[in-house]
Amino acid sequence: MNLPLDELRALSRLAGLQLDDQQLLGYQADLQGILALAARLAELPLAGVEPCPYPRPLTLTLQPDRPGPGLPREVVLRLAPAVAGERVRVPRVVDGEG
Amino acid sequence: MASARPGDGIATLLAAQEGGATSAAHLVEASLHAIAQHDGELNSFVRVAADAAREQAARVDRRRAQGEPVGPLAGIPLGIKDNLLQQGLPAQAGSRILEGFVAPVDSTVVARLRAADAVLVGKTNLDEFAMGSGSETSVHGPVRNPWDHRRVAGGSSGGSAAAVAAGLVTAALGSDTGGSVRQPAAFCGLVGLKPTYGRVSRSGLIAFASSLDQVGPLASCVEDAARILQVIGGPDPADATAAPEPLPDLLAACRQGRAAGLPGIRLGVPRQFFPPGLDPRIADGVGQALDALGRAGATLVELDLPATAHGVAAYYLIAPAEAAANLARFDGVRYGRRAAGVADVAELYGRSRAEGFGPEVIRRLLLGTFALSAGYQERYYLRALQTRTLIREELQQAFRQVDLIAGPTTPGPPYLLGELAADPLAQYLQDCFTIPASLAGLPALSLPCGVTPEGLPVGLQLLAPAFQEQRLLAGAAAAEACLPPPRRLGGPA
Amino acid sequence: MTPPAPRFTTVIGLEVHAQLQTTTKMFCRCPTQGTGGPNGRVCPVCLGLPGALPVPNQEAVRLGVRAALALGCQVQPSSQFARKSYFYPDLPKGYQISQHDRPLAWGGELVLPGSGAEPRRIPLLRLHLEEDAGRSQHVSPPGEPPATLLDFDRCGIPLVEIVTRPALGSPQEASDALKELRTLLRTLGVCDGNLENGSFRCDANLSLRPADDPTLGTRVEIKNLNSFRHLRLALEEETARQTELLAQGRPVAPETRQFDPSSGRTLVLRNKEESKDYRYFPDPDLPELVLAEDWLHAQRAALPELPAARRARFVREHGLSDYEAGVLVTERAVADHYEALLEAGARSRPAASWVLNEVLRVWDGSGDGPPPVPPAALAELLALLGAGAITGTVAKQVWEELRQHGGEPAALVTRLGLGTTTDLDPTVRRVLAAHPAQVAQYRAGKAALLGFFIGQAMRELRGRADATELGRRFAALLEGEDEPTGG
Repeated sequence: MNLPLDELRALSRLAGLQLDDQQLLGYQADLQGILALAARLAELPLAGVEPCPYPRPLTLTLQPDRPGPGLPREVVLRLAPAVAGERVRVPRVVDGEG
Repeated sequence: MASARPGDGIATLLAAQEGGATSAAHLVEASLHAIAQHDGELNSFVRVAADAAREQAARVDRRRAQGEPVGPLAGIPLGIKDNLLQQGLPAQAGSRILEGFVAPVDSTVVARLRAADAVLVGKTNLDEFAMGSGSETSVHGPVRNPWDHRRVAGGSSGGSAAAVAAGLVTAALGSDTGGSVRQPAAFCGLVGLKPTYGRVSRSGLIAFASSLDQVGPLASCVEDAARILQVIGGPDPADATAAPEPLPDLLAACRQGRAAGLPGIRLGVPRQFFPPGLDPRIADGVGQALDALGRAGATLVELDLPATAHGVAAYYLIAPAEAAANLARFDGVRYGRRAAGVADVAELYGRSRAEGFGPEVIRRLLLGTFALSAGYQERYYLRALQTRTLIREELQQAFRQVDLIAGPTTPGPPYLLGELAADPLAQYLQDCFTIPASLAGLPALSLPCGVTPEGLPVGLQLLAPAFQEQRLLAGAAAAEACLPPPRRLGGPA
Repeated sequence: MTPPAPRFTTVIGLEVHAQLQTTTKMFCRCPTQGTGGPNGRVCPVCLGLPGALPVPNQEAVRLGVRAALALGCQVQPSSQFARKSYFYPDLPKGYQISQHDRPLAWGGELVLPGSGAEPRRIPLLRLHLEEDAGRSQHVSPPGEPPATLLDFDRCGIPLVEIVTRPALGSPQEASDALKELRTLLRTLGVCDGNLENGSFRCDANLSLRPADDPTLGTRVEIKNLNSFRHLRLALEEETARQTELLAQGRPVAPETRQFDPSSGRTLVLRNKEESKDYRYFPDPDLPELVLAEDWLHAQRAALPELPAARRARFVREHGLSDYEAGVLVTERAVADHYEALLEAGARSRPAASWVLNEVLRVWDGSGDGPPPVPPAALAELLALLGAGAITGTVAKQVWEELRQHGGEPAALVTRLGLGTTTDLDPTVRRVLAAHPAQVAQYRAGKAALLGFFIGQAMRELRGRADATELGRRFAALLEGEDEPTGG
């Protein structure tokens, strides 16, 4: 599997990482090496094998709809790198939905 | 009183406190003193909570003096890997991006240790976000192996391993995603236990790969590991993947195992765990250990587990894919480090993350993003999940023939600091023997089984079926009694 | 606005997000409601702190299943939560927990009231559970760079997303469908249906295809439709825009647009090249959601009568018109009140008529408050009216009195002296004596003046008389059975 630079750029955008071409090219060989290893999975008899997102079958247990403790607002605001009043502040978003 | 040391083991230290030979206060001072003396070099702790630990020790001593009941880990000094939240302390997971983050709550495991009256001495160093095999990628610098300071302590729970091996604390918590408890335990001559997936709550563990992460103890003997799992394990409503099965009596299992010994136990040895290129020092060390177990009565059964050979490939798609989503929350918006002087939100994300994560984390985020992206998800992520199914079924099948599976924990002894820095793939292959149990969610443990000719520890790995920690610990306790006792390091005087 | 050319058929689909009426959030136990300003209802889970894990709310699952069953969806015995990844400051984890290829339910239909004809059935694609994001407030303080301010209180509020098939044929039908869905969810107690505050939200997609070609045209999505009117206007505008493009032989771009109510236009939000790769995958923190069969049966048994069935019953059994039944059933509380009147002894038509004309004027049943007059009292009032003991005018006076001060209708009628006057002749005579000119004109053949006399008498009696009976008495006296006396 080849990962050309334009694909690496697209990946870094999706991953929310602002990396320049130089930096991206630094990862190219390693990523291609790992993907070459991954490509060998095609050798396995996988036809009809159920994909398993969990290490073993698990059943979800739910919680009752009763309020529990939260975080005080001052803690939330203290953790944040920038706030305005009681809200967390970031530079303006222009686009509509993310 | 001055003779008791943190490295003496839990049973000894509990008895010594009860008999008045030592106290929690003495033990915490011994631990803090040892850290002050040795950790400048080892770099196993990223933060020492001296005041809180002293207060906790004093509380335990007071309760004991007043004849009040104390918990099962009363006064025992422990280290906590810095990807586990401990209320009031920074939790940075070895990353620059979590600079300034102070945990507002306890992780479930930390809360349970507190409730058991353990004394939490500090937070231990690790690979950034637990991604690594050498504890070299931490923003706090690399951890050194107490056995040989030029070598890595293993990873990602290298700080926990080094701290226990050097006798700075009695035991420590680590987390194991693809071997991060077992491999450093092997590298530092310790017992490292990865419980069944779901046995221990992940609530408050900074996630690397949610379907693989398990918290586990690093300790100097099997019994100590059992005692700690007994406290931290069990159901937790805060983790939907925590198993509802109650925890059996693990200490009793250790004792029964030791008493019963190995006769009658069928030990499966997969061919794939002794591949042609295996380091002869490991092949010899583990081979001799298996021979010793055979002589002690265990029946060795050769197994063929072909799918496990593809574990690394599957793991290095699944774990990075989950990590890419798990680490998306580190964005400099609500907590942690935000890049300075950003003009818009895209730059806020892009730069906070590119500056906040180290190269190994970035490599895995790119890899994981790729494995999940449109057009590639089926060929990579999905195939990896199918491989996981094959490995799980293969192991399940094997346990119809054998009681435990045994083999080396690592493909080689501890490597030199920086030795694999330029070759990530070689580092990934460090996990080849530990990954199958991770993918299948099985309990597994690394046990010291001797040393290489140059005196470096070798680890023997044991695997058991899901939720058979009793069987695993009983077998390990029996094996421990037949193997050469690990050489104890000097540690604090 | 160019009217849509007849040679294109409009095809509309809706995506509706409805906040579930739970006490706590979808994956944590923070309250969904509360005051006290922004960032006051958050915890490590909904704030996406490191180490925090989601645990689903069983009530949210129950409400989602309830909606799915009521819509006739195939509820899946096993479904899965998935992570939908994108970066946005009000999305704390960098992914939204939603459901992707294994939703809670597939299929189903929305039954719209048809006017006299067969009801219209709008097929649904799917229904799934997910969590809401926070709120962003965009500000430009003077002298400072523009900023976005974040309130995370809404993060993690449970949502049900309901997606229709592209099967709605007009903007009006789309609006009807949204209204019907709102009524249904409100009836079920699943969602409060509040479009203004965003607890009930709608995106639409629209494409045009040549009338003789079943292949769907290029789909355009429209976001931020926060009223029934905006939905209709946006879809009308978009129909016109696409018709014009196609008429000019230009392609419709597959894009996401946003309705701007001030200009009435739809504006491009993003084009397809910018469309996101959300990298959905099963959330490893959340095992499969498995629903027990007997539990599902119990949920089905617990469903109330649904609006479509209730409407049909009101028409069939109560003799109401489609229109009357439709209005009554729009709010469950209103229909309940109407039925409570019947239970208290009222007859269906007068009860329906009173509810539609009087009750709905002051109470729409959408809030938590009780009806303005308890059903027993109103039923008694309707009985007095029906028996002729009071007139319609008096009934309204008593109604006002009951609303303001309460009480019992019969006692009020007596106390206020509002009972219908049976001895009408003294009044009739007084009126005739006071208007000799009109009496003369009447007698000269101007029969329409009878109404004038009745009105005068009614005023004197303050409405406490039966107009028909009054008319009869006036006619009798004027036509000479007695000479008017007095005055």
